[in-house]
Amino acid sequence: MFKKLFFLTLLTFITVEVFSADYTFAFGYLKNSSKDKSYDYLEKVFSNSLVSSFKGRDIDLLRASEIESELEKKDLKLLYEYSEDQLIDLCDIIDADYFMYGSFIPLDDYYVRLVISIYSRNTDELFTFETIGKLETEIFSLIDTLSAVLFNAASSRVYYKKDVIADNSKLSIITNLEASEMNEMYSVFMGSNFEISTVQSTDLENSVSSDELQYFYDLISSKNSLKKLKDSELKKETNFIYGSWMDAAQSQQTKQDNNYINFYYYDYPESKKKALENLSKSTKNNDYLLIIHFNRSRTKSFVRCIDFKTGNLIWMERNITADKESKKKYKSKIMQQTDEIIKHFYLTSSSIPEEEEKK
Amino acid sequence: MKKIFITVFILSAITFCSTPQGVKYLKNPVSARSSIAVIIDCPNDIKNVVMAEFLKKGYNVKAVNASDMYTLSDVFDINDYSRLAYRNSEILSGQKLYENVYKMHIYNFESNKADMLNEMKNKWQVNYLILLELSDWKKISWARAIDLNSMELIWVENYPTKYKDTLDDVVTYFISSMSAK
Repeated sequence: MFKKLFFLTLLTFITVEVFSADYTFAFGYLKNSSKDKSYDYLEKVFSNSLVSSFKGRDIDLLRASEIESELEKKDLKLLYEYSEDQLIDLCDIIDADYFMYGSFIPLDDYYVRLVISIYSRNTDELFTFETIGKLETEIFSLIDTLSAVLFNAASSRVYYKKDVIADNSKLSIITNLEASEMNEMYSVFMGSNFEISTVQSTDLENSVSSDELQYFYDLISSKNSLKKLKDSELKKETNFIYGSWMDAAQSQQTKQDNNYINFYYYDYPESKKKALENLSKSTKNNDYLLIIHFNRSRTKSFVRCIDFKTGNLIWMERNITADKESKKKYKSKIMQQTDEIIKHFYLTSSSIPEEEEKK
Repeated sequence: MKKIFITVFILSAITFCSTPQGVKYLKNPVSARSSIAVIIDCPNDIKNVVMAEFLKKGYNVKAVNASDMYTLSDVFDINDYSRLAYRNSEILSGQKLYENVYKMHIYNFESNKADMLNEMKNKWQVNYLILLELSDWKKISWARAIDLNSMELIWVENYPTKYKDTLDDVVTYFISSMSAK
C-alpha cells in the first residue's frame, strides 16, 4: 500500500517536473497609434500571431482575450498602455512572468513602425524596442523576427541585438577590469582587427568600480531602453514652488535645482545623446560604445552597446560565458570571455538559434 | 616510483608558483625619433631613469607628468555627487538621479580627456602617448601606446617581472618591444 503510494507520489512529481512550463508569457494588444481606423484589425492580428509563433515552446501562453476574461472577473479592463506601477499589479493579477504590449503606426509602402515593451515580473525590468517591418505578404517574416526578439529578451540572458558589429569597427570600452587585465582584453579585440579608442585606455588606473559599472546595466536611448522600474520612478513629477516670499538667493537656488533635475533626470536621454556625440567627435570616428562588466571571478559578463551614429542601444546581453572553443584558445579567463563576446558581435536577436532555458 | 613522485612534485610546484602570463599586441611599431609623452606614476628618481632610457634610444620625449593626466578619482570625488543628488531629490528616486549623474560624468570625463590629448598633439607635437606601470618580481609590469593622430590604441603588453630584472631591464624590454626590434 505504502509502496504504491510512494511510487504514485514520485510519478506525480516527475510528471509535474517534465510537463511544467518554464514561465508564463502574456500578450496584450498592440495599439493602432494612427488615426486611420482601417488598421484597427491589426491590433488583434499582431497579438494573436505572436501567440501562435510562440507555440511549441515550453511556455504557458496567455492570449489577450484570456487576459480580458481574467480581468473582467475583477471589474478591470485590458489597456493598451500601462504605467510602471500598473504593470506590477497586472502581472500579479493574471499571474504572468512576462507581459508584452505596445503600439504601431503604418508608414508608406506597406511598412509599419512597431514599439514593443516587455515587462519581466521577476526582475522588475521593462525593455522597450522599436522596429520597422513590412505588412502584406511579408507580415509573417515580421512576426517571426518579433517572436525571436521577444523570446530572447525573455531568456535568462535578457538578450537583444539589433545589428551586427562590423569588422574593423572602432570601439570605446568602459569596463571594471584592472589596468593589466584591460591589456588582456584589448589584445584580443586588437588581434581580431578591432580598433580601440582612447576611452579608459589612457588611464593608469581604472577608477570605475564594479558597483559603479552596474549603473550602466539599464540604459535609455531614443528607440529602445532597459529600465529597472523600482529605481526609475520617472512617473513622478517635481513641482518647485515659486513665490514673492522668496528672496533672490532662494529663487536662484530653486532655479538651479530645477535645471539640475531636468538635465540629469527628465531630459536625461537628450543630455546623454549630446554627451555621446561629443565623446564620439573628440575620440575621432568612433563606431560603438561598449559597456563590459565582468564578474569577480571573470567567468561571466554583461554587455551593453550603443551605436554612436544613431545614439541607440543596439545590444544588451547578460550571463555571457566562454564556450569550449574560447577556453581552448586562451588560458586567461578575461581573454576567453573577450573571445566569446567577439563571437556575439556577428549575431542578431533574430539570427541566432534560440536557446531554451535550462532550469 | 621515486622519480615519478619528484616529477609530479616539480610540475605541481611550477604550476602553483608560476608567474602570470605575458600578453602582447603591437599594431604599429613606435619607431625611435618619434615624439612621445611618457606617463608613469612613480617617484621622480625612478621617472628620471625611465625617461633617460627612452632618450638613450633616440625618442623625442616631451615633459608630461602623470598629474597632467588626471585620473577620475583625482579630479574630484564622484561620491560628492551622491550627496548632491540625494539633496535635490527628496521627491524623486535619489539613487536613479545619482546613477544618471555618474554615467554622464564618465561620458564627459572621457570626452574632456580626449580633447586634452588632441591639445597635447597640436600644441606640443606629441605623436604617441606611452603609459607604463612597473612592478616587482612575480607581478605584472604593463605598458600601452596610443597614437594621438588616430586616437587609437596601437600597443599593449603585460610583462611578468622576473626575479633578476632591474628597472633598466624592464624599460629596455618595453622599448624594444614597442619599436619591434
